[in-house]
Amino acid sequence: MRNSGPLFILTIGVIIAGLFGARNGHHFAAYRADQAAGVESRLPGPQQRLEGWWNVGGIGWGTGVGVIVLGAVLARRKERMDATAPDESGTVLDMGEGLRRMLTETEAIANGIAELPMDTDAPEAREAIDALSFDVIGPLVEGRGRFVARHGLGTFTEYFSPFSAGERQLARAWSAITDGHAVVARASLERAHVSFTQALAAWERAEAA
Amino acid sequence: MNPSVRPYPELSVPAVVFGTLQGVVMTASFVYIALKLGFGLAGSTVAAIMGFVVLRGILRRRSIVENNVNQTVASGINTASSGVVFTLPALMLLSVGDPTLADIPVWPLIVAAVAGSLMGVVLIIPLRKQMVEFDRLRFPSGTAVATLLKSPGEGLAQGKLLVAGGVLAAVLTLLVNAGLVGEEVDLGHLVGLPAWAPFALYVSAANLGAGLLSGRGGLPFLAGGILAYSIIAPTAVLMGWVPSPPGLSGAELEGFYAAETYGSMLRPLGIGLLIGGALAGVVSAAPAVVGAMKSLRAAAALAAEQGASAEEVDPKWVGVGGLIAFVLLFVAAWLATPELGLATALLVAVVGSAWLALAGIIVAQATGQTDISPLSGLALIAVTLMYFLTGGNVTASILIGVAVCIATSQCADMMQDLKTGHLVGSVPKEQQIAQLLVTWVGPFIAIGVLMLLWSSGPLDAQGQPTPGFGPDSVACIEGTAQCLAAPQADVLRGIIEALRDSDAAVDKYLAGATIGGALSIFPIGGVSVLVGLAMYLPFSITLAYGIGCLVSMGLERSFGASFIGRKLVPFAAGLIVGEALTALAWNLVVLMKTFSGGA
Repeated sequence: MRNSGPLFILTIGVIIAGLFGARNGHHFAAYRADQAAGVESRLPGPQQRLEGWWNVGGIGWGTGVGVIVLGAVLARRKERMDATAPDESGTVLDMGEGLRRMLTETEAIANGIAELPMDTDAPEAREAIDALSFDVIGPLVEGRGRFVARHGLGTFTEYFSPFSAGERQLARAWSAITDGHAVVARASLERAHVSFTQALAAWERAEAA
Repeated sequence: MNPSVRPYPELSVPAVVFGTLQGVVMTASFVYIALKLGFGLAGSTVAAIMGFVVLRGILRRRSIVENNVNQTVASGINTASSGVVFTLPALMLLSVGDPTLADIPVWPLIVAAVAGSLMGVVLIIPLRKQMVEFDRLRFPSGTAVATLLKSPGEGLAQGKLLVAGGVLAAVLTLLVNAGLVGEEVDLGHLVGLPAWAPFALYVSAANLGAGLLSGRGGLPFLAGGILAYSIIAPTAVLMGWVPSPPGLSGAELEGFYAAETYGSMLRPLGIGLLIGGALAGVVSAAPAVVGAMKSLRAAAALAAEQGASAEEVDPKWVGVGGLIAFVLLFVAAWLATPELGLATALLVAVVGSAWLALAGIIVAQATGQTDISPLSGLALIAVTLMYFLTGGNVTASILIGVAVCIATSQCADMMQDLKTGHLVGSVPKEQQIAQLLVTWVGPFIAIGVLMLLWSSGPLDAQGQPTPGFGPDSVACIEGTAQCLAAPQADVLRGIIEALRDSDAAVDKYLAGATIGGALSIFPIGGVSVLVGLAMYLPFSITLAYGIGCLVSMGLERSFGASFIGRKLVPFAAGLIVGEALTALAWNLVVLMKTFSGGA
């Protein structure tokens, strides 16, 4: 499992910090016990609660937070290293390769419904869009953590934003085909093509940088 | 009209009018249901199905995206019902014992509610790209509604799975509501686990469905629940950190431990984690939000250059909307409590807006990942903040509480609808305009219905009006069918009374917020929100949801991602839709029976 070492450290940190963070100071604990027993007692004020908690849990909680930070930083470092290492499993779809496939297939789907009249269903075009969603869009979306680690969040948004816009246009084409609006479906496929072209250009810029 | 150029309806008059009508009816009835039963209902599913019947069936308008606008409008109005009904009645209930609160400032409350509603919508517009497109939050209910909207184009097999999920959920919901199956299956009790190490399953098809739709992404939620309830809570008890009240023993003592570890330890710590996670999330997502805004501006400029329509509302209008909402909130705070002065009213508006924005992000993230919203906890923080900021002014505190509660509901609802829109290919701008058009309607209806119900109590012996709802109302004292107990608001009333005694878990909020901030450094987004939510909620809900996640992961490993999309998503959507519809129908039947004296 990726990141298992840092994840283990992080988990230990959450347990320690959570345990000591959840602990109540003596005054408040005693107040709650009195309440449960039906005994009158005075509720500690916010300042007293804070000090009471800090006295019994402050050091443990601080240690836990430190361990969380350590685990998280190690996980980030591991993620960056993984993102730049070559994919040996062969399961990660390259964004550029995926976008080129999207461009080819979007064009093919548009050509397939070029003569489709209004109010006519085209289930094979919907099937083709579904196949693109499952085979290309899904894996690219799943791989976005890798892309962010590779290029940084700002650069990632430059290609992922038009990619997502293209994905939405494909969904619109799907809906329009279902509703028998072939003209809208074709226009949506054209817009999807434009968006994927923009995404590919931004991806290539990011890779070249 | 030439059929070859017939327009594809989306933001249309029928969609807005029908959506508004549905929204108004749902708001009025859901306010009533929430006062009676103590929980709100989501309107998107019902609106989408009614859209099929009326828009697609009767009006013969074939447009999936138009139905998306219809359900966006209806749920955008209806979402005010839960925002209002969990907060405002507390002020009314408090006024029974405190005559200084008897003058309910109706207009300032409506203005504050409209401000909250508007701010919720404008806040979510620039975050759409980040949450829906970049973070890819699942929004289980939004996905379920999208599956429903797309059903005319799905194959028969997928339609059958949707119906099968719906029927299964309906049967389960009926069995639970009829008391034939418990709301929880206490597995821990069966193997002799004590109450303070809970291991129970919440019986809810929708909860399981949300887990199925979330898959691997929901695992931190389950992990957070296990850490909280199977490690932290038992360790705290075994270490003697939870006091043992004298006179308690056996099951009573175990019950006290369970209530104490949850109520005064894990729940407030979870709220703190949610706050810290959201704050850190805002900071760490800043590059993505900046990127999203840049892309919005670039898209708007390109559209203007090409003479085409932009696909998102222009960011400058978002800013204008935010400013209007802020001014409205300030005016409301000042009108409601002129004795506080302009400076305090301004401070209330500034802090209220800041908290409202943060709470909106928390709720949108939480519902995006789990479908569960920590609404009441966030409203509680708002009320607490304002209570201390205004030196104990209950009216100002609840006024901001109303605005925050409506805004956060609006954020969650709008983002769910935008997710649905993304999946069916709607133009976001059309949905955003639709929601902006009707954002003021819900508060008027919800507060109007509430005031009507409040003033409908009979006169007492002195000829004075009595409360129309709540535990002190004549109907509830006499135990008649007309009793509206307003349980959620009664809880808030209790909390405000506790606040008057300075009972605020500041230590837990601070500790949790720091843990949430530290967790946000981890490279998987939203972990702190999920862990915080797991601590905030009873473990039974988390466990049932987590089982859904694990089943989804197992199925994906065995049958591949395509199986999830083609088979599991429609089935899980059916579970969510089926439970929502059955619960609504059941509650309507219960209400009718109580009025006819049958229950």
